[in-house]
Amino acid sequence: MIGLIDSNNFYVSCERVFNPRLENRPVVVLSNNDGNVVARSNEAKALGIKMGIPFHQIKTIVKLEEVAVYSSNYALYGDMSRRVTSTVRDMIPDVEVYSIDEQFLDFNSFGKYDLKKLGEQINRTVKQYTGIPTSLGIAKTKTLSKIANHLAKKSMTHKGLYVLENEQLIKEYLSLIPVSDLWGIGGRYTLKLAKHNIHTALDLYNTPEQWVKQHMTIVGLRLWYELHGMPCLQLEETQKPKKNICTSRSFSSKQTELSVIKEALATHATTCAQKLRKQGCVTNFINVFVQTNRYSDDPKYSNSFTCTLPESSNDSRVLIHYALKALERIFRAGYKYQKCGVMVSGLTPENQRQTSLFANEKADESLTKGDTLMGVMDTLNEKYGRDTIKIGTAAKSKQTKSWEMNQSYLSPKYTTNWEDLLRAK
Amino acid sequence: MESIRIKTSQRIPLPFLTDRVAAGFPSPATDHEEKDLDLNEHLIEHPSSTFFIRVEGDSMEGAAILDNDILIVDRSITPTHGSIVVAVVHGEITVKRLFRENKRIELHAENPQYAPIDVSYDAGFKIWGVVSGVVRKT
Repeated sequence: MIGLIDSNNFYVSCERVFNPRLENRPVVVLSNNDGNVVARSNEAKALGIKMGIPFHQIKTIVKLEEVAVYSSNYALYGDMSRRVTSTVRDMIPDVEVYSIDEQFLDFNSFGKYDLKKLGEQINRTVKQYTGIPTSLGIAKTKTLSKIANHLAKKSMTHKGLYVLENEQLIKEYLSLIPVSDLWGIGGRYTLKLAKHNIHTALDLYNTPEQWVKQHMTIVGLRLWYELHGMPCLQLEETQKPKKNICTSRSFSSKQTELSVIKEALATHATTCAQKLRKQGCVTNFINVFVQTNRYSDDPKYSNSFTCTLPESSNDSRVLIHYALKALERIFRAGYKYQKCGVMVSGLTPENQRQTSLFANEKADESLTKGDTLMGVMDTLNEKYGRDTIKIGTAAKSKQTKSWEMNQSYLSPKYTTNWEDLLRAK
Repeated sequence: MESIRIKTSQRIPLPFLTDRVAAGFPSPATDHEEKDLDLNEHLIEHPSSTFFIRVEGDSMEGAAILDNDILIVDRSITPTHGSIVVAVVHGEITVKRLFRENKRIELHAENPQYAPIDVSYDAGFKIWGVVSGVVRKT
């Protein structure tokens, strides 16, 4: 049996752990730059506040209904997510971290246990240890566990836990789910299936295996097996290192100055380099892009340029240097830029670093020195908070603060900063 | 996501030798070097359920918990009569000693200037976690 455990209204729940006054109140959490609503408490949902709605559209409701508003506090949510995962893992060792608030659990070595009791114990323990409420759905396959999880969350009688085993019950629920809602069924497939009168998940379930083999890809066939309770999707317990890393952000107001964009790009390049060092990788290519607002009436322009590095690197200074070189190629004066970003690709593990054909001993030496310097930078930034030490170009001047992330409603970093600890009288 | 959380990897190595080093000939102690002392390991039994909370005020002075101390709060511990707990009363977070007798539940300060708080019928009362240690810099 496979379980899918998911933290209810996760970002809101994190805020509530450290601020008990938020209980029973409508709470929303906003996306980067405080743009859109990305998490809602049940009370906020009951007010009709929709997922993804732009914040400025609900400002009146927020005021009238005294909705508590928070900027995304990723330091806090990341820490709480790790706590939830590790609490779950202490009980069920085989865990796949599916997202910041979802984990798949493999119950197959717990055959002789009462899964209902075990499930209740998992929810209860996570709530006690971390303060985060969870919902757990258990079924024979990953696909069915998603359905069970949905039921655990929505069912009034099954508070937070649903073990979906009964074949008849599975069929009834499948009849309620549009086939387009299933994993791996895209828009193109939905149209094709509709032509063959397959509209619900149950229609697909009732389709003969042979037909699926003939008319669908391996993804479709796997899905068919999964619906029939035959596991085809394995738990991915180890996170694969990323193949590329992208750091980009919209400016909080539109920018025309080259200097501002340079600074933003240098910061993005620094972040990319940090991420590379964290996963022990180096990059061969750096791609820089700039764009104006697609939807405004101002003249539009967008472009990108990729530099190939002479030697693969994860040195902030090298990445900044080539990011700015790329920018020079694509920057056009006179446009109001809305967004810029840096992407690194062609990542290879550090220990298989490709050096250039003309690399000499002196270069090797500076390479080692660079590694040490970057190591010191990372350590200091980790110890004293991010952005303690930065490369010159990435250091923010006052006039250019404008491109930084807008986080007007940020809660304290309760678990990751000594100055921000929760206080008790 | 960058963070300074309770990390077991961030250890302060304090080599602990069971024997003195004798000058002149190879130390037999090097064969017996034990592992580094790790304060996290000593103070924190369950990292995933342990949180740090800053003390404000003098209500727990009698229990040697002073203003500005850092409480180590382990939510995995089940509170019992006599535990020092972090609790929520009327939406406020407070540290007190838990007093439980039959159906009566009270929070006691460790300072005669503060009266006990009866929370027996307080619907909003909640125990946040149990204090398992205190850290103070002098």
